[in-house]
Amino acid sequence: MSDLPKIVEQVRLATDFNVNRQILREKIQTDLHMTHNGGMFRINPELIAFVQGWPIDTLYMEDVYQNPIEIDRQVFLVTAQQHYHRVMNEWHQQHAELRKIRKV
Amino acid sequence: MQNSAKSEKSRGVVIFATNTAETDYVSIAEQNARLIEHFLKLPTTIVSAKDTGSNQRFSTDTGRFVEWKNFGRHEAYEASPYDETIVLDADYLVFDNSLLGLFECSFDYLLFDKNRYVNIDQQASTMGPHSLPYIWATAFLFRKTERSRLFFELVAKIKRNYDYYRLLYNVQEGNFRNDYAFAIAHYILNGNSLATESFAPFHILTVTGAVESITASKNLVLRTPHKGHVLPLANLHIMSKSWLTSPALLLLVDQCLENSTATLVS
Repeated sequence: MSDLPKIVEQVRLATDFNVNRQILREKIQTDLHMTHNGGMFRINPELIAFVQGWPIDTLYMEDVYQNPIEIDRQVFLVTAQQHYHRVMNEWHQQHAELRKIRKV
Repeated sequence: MQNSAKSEKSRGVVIFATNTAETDYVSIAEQNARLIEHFLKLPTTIVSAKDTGSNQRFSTDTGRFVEWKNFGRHEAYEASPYDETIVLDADYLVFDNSLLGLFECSFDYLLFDKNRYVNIDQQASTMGPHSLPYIWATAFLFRKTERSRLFFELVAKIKRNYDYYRLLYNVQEGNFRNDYAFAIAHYILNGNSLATESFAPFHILTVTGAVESITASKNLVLRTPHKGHVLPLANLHIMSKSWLTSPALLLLVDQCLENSTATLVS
């Protein structure tokens, strides 16, 4: 007897790690957005490093909507670091779980 | 004595759902309202539009055209009892609170111009080869401002004169769609520009075609007739009306709410 139906069923249940990984990454990119003083920012290492290195406590930064937003450096830095850490931690955990899943 | 305290603005979700002979959209909206209450902590109003029209859509479940009453999205401004409103299609299920953060931004209305299909190749992002970029009326946000009122009035005008606007903007598809009317109205209202500051910074996630099952744990595990997908717990636009109107939706929502409660307890 042919194994074809069994193979078809296995393919049907298979899940594509690369597609799942890409969709998860896009969700994380969404989650990395954070609001501050009416502006929307996508938190990334460059932004955190820039704010950390800025010598004055008040600065103005362009948000994702191309508006200049007044930033309280200390408040923004702490919030952004916490936000970044939480989301990246979530990404790492979910990514590790995804790696194990080959069929659903 | 005068009360100088600033009054708090009301905020909520409006779901458009008009039943047809084939599909009980209101029952889908009711289940979505449970998810919204859980994830967004917002009240929901389900609206059956007056100006629904009667059209046909191609059902990816059955492979034939079925009745479709989905014209009245321009009624959102009048129909919403809230100062700040998230408007959703019944089939855009809420599984996270990402929409809530958008209210921290300054806007009159906020649209989604990006979509990501889970289970098929990505589609063209314009309304025709020489037309405007696509906008998804599946989900949008607005505040009750004069500019928003103008926007919805313009959408209504485009709907009334759709044959004219369709030709003017080279829309390929003959069917009226709220998506097209939104894209044209947005373009006109912004002085013939795309005004990207009115677009949400992220996309809508869509599953098209037939769905066999969706289960929720830390992830959403989706099975279609051809493939399995493991998705993050994120808002999901599900096209399969036959799955959405089956008891499976109720089970999924129950599962989601139970999982979240269990996580909170632990």
